[in-house]
Amino acid sequence: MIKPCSKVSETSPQGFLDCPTLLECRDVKKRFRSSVKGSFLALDGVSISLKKGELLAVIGESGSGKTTLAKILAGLIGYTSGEVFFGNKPLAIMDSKDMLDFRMKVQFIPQYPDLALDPTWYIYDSIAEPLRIHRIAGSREDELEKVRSISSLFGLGLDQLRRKPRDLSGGELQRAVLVRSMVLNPDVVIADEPTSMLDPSTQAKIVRQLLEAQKRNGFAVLFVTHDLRLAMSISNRVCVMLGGRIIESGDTPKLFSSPLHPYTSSLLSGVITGSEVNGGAMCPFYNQCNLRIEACLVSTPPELRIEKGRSVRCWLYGIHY
Amino acid sequence: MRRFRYAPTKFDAIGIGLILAVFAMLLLSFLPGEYFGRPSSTPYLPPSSSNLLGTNDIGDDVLRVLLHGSRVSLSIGLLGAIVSTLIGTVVGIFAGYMSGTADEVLGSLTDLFLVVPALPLMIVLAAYLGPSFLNVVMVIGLLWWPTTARLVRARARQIRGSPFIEGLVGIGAKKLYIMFRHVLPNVWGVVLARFVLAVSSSVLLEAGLSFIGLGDPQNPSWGTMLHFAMTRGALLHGAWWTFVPPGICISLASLGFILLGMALECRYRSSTKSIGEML
Repeated sequence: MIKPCSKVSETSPQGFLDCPTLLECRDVKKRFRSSVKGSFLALDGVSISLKKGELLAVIGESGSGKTTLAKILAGLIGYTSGEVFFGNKPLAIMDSKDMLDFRMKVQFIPQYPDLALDPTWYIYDSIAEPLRIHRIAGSREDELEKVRSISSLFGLGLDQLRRKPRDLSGGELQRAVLVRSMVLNPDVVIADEPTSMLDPSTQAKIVRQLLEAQKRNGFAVLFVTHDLRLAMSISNRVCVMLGGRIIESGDTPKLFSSPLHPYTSSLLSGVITGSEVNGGAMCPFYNQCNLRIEACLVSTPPELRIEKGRSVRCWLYGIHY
Repeated sequence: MRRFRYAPTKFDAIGIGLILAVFAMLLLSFLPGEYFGRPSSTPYLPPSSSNLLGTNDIGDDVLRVLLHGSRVSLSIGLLGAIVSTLIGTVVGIFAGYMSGTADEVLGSLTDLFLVVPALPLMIVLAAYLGPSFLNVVMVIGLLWWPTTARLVRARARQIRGSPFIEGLVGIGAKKLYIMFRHVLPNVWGVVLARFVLAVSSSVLLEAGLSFIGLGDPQNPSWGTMLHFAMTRGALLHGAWWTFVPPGICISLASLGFILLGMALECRYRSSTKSIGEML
């Protein structure tokens, strides 16, 4: 596991919490409108901050809004209300120069590697493309040198670079996508279930390469996954999502050893009975919760801070607030 | 992942063969005059060893006129197809990639041109602009693009929705860059097939316009030959050699391009609906 930034001593129990914030969103809501299903609130007031150098895992079931959150933070889709900040600048009113800087510093790794690269382009060109767009490599030789050196770190040789996406295996493709996100030397990498389409051993290799790269370059990672064991083994902090809300967040060891929210405990013990999520203002876990009280039916509480870096949205802990 | 391997069918082979034959005619037309039969003072001489395809109403060798006609027919066919494919591709990519107002405006424009009856409008335009080589090209180009635009738009829309485009936005690529470096290569199959089909259409349209007397009389094409055969009494003389060869040439040339276009279309079928729709 990677060490916190230099400002904080290694023994500090808060870990990354005192590191500067790179990417942050406050009370972001996202409503999808479709002519068939009507409107659907995918994110309902999500606040999250990503500190320099940390690995923050976002876990949750399908449909909990993980991917939507990841895409909003990567600036790929818009949001209905709330604010997203990169550094101290709000994303919504960035000028084109700042936006280009944001696109360079924040990289997104999508879920399906086989659809992530242009099928008509060679892998080499796809990987070199970010360098060309941002005019980083001066000459063709610089570019070749840079692409080759980074690719070899991830185990991609010239042989693979000369091919087109259809001629690579899933693991090789995901590595190519990973390399492509690394060539610009980003500060933030947002990975949306990057390994969910791969077999377990390839998965382990890719994750290890991502962690090694993080150790080398010190970027922050937002790792979206539904794989609890993976999240536990690699992350520094975890956010648990349910029904478009972050219902609990905290340091990885603490959250996994002593979950606060009833949903988190049942998720960890694997005893979730149904996936029916309640909409509206009430707690999304209300129907399945054994510990529900009347207040849960009326509203979900705001984020209750239990201790530094640990918060939960459950009325059971209202007394601590 | 789809993979296209070239496997020629008999239709490909016939198409390519016919197109090669037409281009061979084009090459032969550059031979000096003495290789053809001599012009005669007698009109409508039947085919003989001195005039392989006989002579026409002004005593000119039909074979020579036929070979020269291939230049006009083919160059108008190709140029008209280039202009129409260019307009259709650009409009289609913009409409397909941009959503909202741009798409609606371009879509309505395409619909407008699509419902205009092409041939009558072409006749009016050609008559109004006057018969000249460039006018015929422009008229064909300006009226033949909507179907291409429609197909390219549908395909571009499909490409736009795929995750790699989102990834490109994520690394900071501009819209125009994405459209022409990434969307265009992915719609290339449709564009190519449409282009080949458009050549065939323009050859036919040019023949039609020339036949009713709206072609350039200084550069006679196959259509012009039919026009003169019709208006100057070749039918009454029974001089079949003046109108059968250009008719065959027109049919075979357009058939060749249609077959090749359909074969290309089949290869990229996953991207469009049916071949019948394209003709």
